[in-house]
Amino acid sequence: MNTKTILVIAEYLDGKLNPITDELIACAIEITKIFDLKAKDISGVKAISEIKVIHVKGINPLESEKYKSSLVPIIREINPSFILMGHTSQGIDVASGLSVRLGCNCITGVNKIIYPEYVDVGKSEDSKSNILFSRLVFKGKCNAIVGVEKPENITLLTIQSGSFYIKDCCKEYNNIISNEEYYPSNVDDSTISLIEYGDIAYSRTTKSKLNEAKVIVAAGRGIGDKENIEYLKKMAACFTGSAVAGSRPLIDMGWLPYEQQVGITGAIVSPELYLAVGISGSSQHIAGMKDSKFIVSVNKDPNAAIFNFSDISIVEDCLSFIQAFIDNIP
Amino acid sequence: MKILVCIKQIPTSDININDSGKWITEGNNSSLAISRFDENALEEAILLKERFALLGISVDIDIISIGSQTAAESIKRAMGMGADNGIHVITEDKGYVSGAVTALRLATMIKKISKAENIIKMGDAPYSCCPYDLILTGIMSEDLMQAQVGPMLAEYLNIPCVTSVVNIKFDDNLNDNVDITDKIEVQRELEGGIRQNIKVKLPALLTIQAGINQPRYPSLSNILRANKKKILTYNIVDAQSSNSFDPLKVVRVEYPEKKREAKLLNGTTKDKAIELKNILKQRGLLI
Ligand SMILES: Cc1cc2nc3c(=O)[nH]c(=O)nc-3n(C[C@H](O)[C@H](O)[C@H](O)COP(=O)(O)OP(=O)(O)OC[C@H]3O[C@@H](n4cnc5c(N)ncnc54)[C@H](O)[C@@H]3O)c2cc1C
Ligand SMILES: Nc1ncnc2c1ncn2[C@@H]1O[C@H](COP(=O)(O)O)[C@@H](O)[C@H]1O
Repeated sequence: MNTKTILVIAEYLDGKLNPITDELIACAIEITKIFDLKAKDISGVKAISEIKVIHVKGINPLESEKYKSSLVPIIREINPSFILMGHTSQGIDVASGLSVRLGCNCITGVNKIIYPEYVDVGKSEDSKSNILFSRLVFKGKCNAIVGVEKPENITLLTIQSGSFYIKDCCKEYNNIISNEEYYPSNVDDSTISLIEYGDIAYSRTTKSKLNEAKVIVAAGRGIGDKENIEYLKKMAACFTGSAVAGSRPLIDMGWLPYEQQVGITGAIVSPELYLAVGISGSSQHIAGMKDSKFIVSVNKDPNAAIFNFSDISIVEDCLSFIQAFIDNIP
Repeated sequence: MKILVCIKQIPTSDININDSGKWITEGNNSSLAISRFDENALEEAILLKERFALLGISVDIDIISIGSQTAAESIKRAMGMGADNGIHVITEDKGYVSGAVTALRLATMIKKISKAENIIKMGDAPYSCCPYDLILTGIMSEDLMQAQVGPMLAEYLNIPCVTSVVNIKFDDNLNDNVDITDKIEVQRELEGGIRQNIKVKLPALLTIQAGINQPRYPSLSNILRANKKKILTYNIVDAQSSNSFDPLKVVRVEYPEKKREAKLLNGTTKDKAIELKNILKQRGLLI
């Protein structure tokens, strides 16, 4: 009864393993470390005994109603303490519904695993939950630190990509990680007959001129108006090898073409300089530009999440700032 | 045909962590709006209503929102955009409510309302209990960002769910033998510009991704019409079910750690512009 298993559901697209799977394993190791620490703190709590990575074969994970149904018996059989999936389009499609079917806890978009400071029951409100999870709220401006009320239940987590990395020190956990293939037998679910999964279409090109640019001047909703894109272009013209880009809402509103969208559903860029103007810094945008060599952000909100990822922070109205930047050639 | 759109009112002003460190306070110029993706969901419902109207099929759009007194303004706005009826479940819960609780409350309300109004839809059992042909939610709320309520609600109602929908089509070939409200074709979006085509039988729940449409502004005539209509209001206890305890609890809120220096530039706008130029020149990024 004391052995705890963490179940990692490997993510596949077109039969290829998605890199998020490594991050899920890294997160599983973080959880294991916390339980190891705990085992030292209070006797009777057994550490994690196994990290089981399952590779579900013979079923297309994009056929999500079917996939959910096939996962239920597998999970019941393994009976893990934690289930980890990616906070990806696939994870979002499957995890929450799956948690209802399993009657388990579900926390989405987890970016950090936290050891509660007080483990003695009664000392603090953290005490009930023996482990805490951090997830972004309010456009990424803060993290909510979440605990589960019934830690004895299974807890399903979807993991924010870019939050966990396999480090060298993780090697000591190699002996508890196992990989297993699962071939679900005939899944029986009445919802399945109601949904027909068709083709995958690569309708939008992911090739983007942004990849060649040395400097990217990117705007978000803070730019205010379609006409103001002209200011953005003028600012970009101050640099050689520059390109104009935008956050997704600008593309959705038709202010800029899709090729100029930066983020998880757009281009992933890493120019010498990324200048973000009026962009709040949601995780989906950050994922597309965080590896830029130098990041400068202009935002009127001093708490904007984008500043956490910036080398230089400028709290200003973006149009006034652009104007000042263009005008003042020292 | 009946469509339900789930909308949430969110603060759009600056927010700060409150003194207890357990939740946030809204800034001085506190303003509230419909969460962006929910506005896309609502616009899509209105577009469907307009498209079906051309085929002689009438569509009734209900709006439901669980929120404080002020959420009534967002429901009114939704009706100003073109929704027909509003349902407001009043709660003063300001903090974190996990997706499972909200979804269960919505499901409970939907079941309750359908009984009250006796609008049980024909169709194949056991899915006949859903009084709506289509339920739309946002892909995620802008404040809690869980991306949970839609998929969970679908499970509670036992109807199929498609997330991140960026296109909705239906077969508008008028043909006596085909019920065009039976099935719709949708496209969902994955990372890296990939889209998946899916056909789904109604009733179904779709979570709507931005980019599917441009939400309209409320029109004067709709606002006048909406003002004459009553919003159905319920108390949160009406939405309580036997097992609606929150499985999750927020113990505190924190500002995220800084991944980079985030050097703050000071002075006037002009000072900052000049300093930035100097920094960029030193780094060889500006000539
Ligand atoms: C599955 C999924 C995929 C997504 N993929 C992407 C993606 O690839 N790329 C992407 O960008 N987004 C993506 N998004 C959307 C993302 O969640 C955010 O909604 C979006 O990034 C916000 O864009 P924004 O920062 O421009 O707008 P907002 O979040 O509205 O931020 C506007 C910012 O401008 C500031 N501001 C306002 N006025 C001014 C002013 N006068 N001067 C200076 N600053 C001002 C505000 O303080 C605020 O910080 C995705 C969402 C989902 C659910
Ligand atoms: N309190 C609420 N009232 C009505 N709908 C809601 C509420 N909370 C969430 N939703 C719906 O569920 C979607 C996803 O919310 P979330 O799971 O919190 O990210 C939102 O876009 C809304 O459509």
